[in-house]
Amino acid sequence: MRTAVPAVPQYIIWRDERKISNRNTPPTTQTQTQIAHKKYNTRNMKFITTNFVKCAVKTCDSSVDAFPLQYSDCQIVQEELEYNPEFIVHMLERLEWNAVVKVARDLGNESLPPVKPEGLDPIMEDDQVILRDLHTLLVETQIVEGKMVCRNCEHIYFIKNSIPNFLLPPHLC
Amino acid sequence: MLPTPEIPLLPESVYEPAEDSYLLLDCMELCISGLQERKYPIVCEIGSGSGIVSTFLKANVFPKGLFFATDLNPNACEAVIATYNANCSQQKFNTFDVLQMSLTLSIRPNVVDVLVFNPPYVPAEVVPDVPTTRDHYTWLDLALLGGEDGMEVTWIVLLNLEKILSRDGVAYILFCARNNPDKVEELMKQRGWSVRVIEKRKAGWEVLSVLEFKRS
Repeated sequence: MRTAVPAVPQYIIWRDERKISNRNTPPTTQTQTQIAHKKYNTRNMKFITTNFVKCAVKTCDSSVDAFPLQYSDCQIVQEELEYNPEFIVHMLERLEWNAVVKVARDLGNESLPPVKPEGLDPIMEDDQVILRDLHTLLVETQIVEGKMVCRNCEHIYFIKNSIPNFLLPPHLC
Repeated sequence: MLPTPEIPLLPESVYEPAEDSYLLLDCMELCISGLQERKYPIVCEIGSGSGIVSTFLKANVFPKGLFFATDLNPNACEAVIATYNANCSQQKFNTFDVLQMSLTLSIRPNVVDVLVFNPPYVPAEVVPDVPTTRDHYTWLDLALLGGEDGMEVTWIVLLNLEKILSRDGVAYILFCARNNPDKVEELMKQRGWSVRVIEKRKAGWEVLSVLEFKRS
């Protein structure tokens, strides 16, 4: 007899506490991703921001490995934000999807589709589900503490108290 | 008039909003109808300081924008968050991140739709070095002193606008008279930019202006 298998969300890193504890796949070896469910009153680094930041070292500008940075030892929170499907549709056009997939993998989600979902329509019910998941991933999933490493020069940047620090030591400026 | 954000108590090392900050707010308000044609822009403010300008823009101009507020000074980064929280606690769409960063060095190229910069524009012998400790007394100098003609830092941004802005991106940058904004306008036009003066204003003994830069 076939039993109903609950649908696994493809886009989000986790959905709720239960989802976290049921997760079978452990985070990748470099990542000890800790997950907490809190409403923070500070502004944490949002997942979407990882798609817009690269290594600051000048000589890395020409390298394809300087973006996205590699995320490890991240403490993640989920902050409830107003759902705005139009925002997600507009931002999708601006996103480098390969980088979304890579960073999601760094944070322990291996199940993102390899191709960017396109032509999503907030009116269509099927698309709504995807847009909701993307909303959870892109803006509600936030990093409080962690490391960002350039895959080219291996410089390590830190995220502390919700603020990512991209300043370089003088010898790298 | 759009409300001016309230600024919580700032540490000494963070630039307190003054005439120049208010001129920028006034200019953003003057340009509001054109600006709001962009509904979901990526907005970046360089050297956010107290956070007054970014907070103003998020609260009043681009509530659905994605914001990156940068500053070198760790104390300023915290001040930006405090100012944002003090004014936008009712906001349910907090797409506003603070990044400790020099200029836009770590922002992926050609993504910024609206760039705002109130630079260190005071002429000085040199641009100060970035302090090595958080409590160093020279942090504030970094917010003020702009080296030769007060333009050394601003020129770094102007010469990189091509790489910073998205295809139809726009930049608003503040100048004082000693920066020779007329000369800047001319040089940038020669480089293929469309430049206009949004407003020019006497503020104490300084004459300040805000210029808008777009690809022509």
